[in-house]
Amino acid sequence: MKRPTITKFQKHTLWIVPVCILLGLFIAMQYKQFQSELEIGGTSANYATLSRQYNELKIQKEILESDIEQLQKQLDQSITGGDPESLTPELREELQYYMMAGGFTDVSGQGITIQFDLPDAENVINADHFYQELVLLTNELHAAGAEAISINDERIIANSEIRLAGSAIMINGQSRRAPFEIKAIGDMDTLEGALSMRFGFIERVRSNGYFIEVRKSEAVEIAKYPTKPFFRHAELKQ
Amino acid sequence: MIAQKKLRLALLWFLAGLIMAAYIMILQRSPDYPDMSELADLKKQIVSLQSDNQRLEANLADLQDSLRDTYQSIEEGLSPEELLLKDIADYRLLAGYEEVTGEGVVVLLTDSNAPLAQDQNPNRLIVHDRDITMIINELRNAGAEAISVNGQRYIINRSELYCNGPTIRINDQWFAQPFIIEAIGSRRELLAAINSNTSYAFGLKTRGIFIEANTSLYLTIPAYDGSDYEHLRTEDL
Repeated sequence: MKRPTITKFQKHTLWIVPVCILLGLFIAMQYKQFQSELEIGGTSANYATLSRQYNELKIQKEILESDIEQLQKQLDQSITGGDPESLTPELREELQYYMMAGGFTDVSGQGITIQFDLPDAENVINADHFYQELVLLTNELHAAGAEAISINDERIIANSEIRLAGSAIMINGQSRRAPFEIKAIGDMDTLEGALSMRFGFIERVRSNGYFIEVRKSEAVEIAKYPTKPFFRHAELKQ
Repeated sequence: MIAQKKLRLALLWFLAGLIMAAYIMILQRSPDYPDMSELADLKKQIVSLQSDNQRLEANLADLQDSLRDTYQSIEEGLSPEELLLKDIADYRLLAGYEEVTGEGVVVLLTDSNAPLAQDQNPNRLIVHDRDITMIINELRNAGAEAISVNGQRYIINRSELYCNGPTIRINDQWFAQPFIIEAIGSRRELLAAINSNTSYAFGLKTRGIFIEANTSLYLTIPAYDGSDYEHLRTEDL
């Protein structure tokens, strides 16, 4: 008996088998891809609403800021009666000094900028230590003669607080998160030297795994505290 | 026959190529979809923007109030000079350059008098500058408006509290234990901040350090009389 031509046929089918397997794989992958897209679909919509909310808040912030600026101008004008020269320069200087001392004017001068971060910014457990380090850092800077300090653009004033709130840190009642940028005005060599001394602040926090970097600068600018607070309990002694 | 088979095979490969291309296109498009960390970041930014806006709104309301007050004072016949003097008095008070009175708490801190246990670090029984700094920060977090340590005004934006051998330096003056911290604010809240068992003060107590807080209806805290500013520059008013 002659051998049938099946071998030839088999040879051809053998080629089709891997192709079909490949096709099946692709189809399965595509199906999975679509499936997962459907799943993140919810997040994607969430993202859209969140970014819309973000933009709205940002616009709202700008409007508020411009309103405040306008009112401030109006207030200044009402005090000076539209003519700043009518006031004695001594008085104006005195007001300027105490506003500056209290942290209610923008200031500039030589100083340092510190970048302070966790190696893993999402690490919630370390936030507790982080807040303590921030408190100690401001104290360290004051001991080195810092005249003005801000943390993430929050000016530290006579009764600013630094407080832990969940995984965020509250400064002046505002929620702030790592990475932190601390600016300090004062003698830049003294400030930098006080932090980077042997067994000093930088060495200690680095050995605890924090990221810290100090940069000296001839012109550090620190923004003012935005409102004029008031005391509820403390009164001027008569 | 063979040609036909080859054609069929070619067609299959062509189809596979098409599907592969479609798949690659999908892969390239997928970065549009945010991952969870991006979403979390956005959420955090929104929270901080919300708190910013809240403060700005409060700020706006305050400004409107003070504008009204100013107009009223002008109507009452106050001169610009007098208005300015009022402003100066406000800022002097806020910056800590005035003696203030009010209700608050007095916190007493001294070294532990427990005997040193074997292998115990003597540092654990001593009050450190760090301890006082943290206590002061906790008082401030509970709303203290004026704070003094051993009769020396402590203002957060200027005062330092630094270990100096057996003493502690505050505003370039030296103080030794016992440390008496006075704070003006809500008595109840300040006392709670010290006595709460999650407070730093509670941690000191477990270390054996003597710490006691008492409320007072009338405290006097002196004015800050620290050094001048050498490096600060600000715009002229």
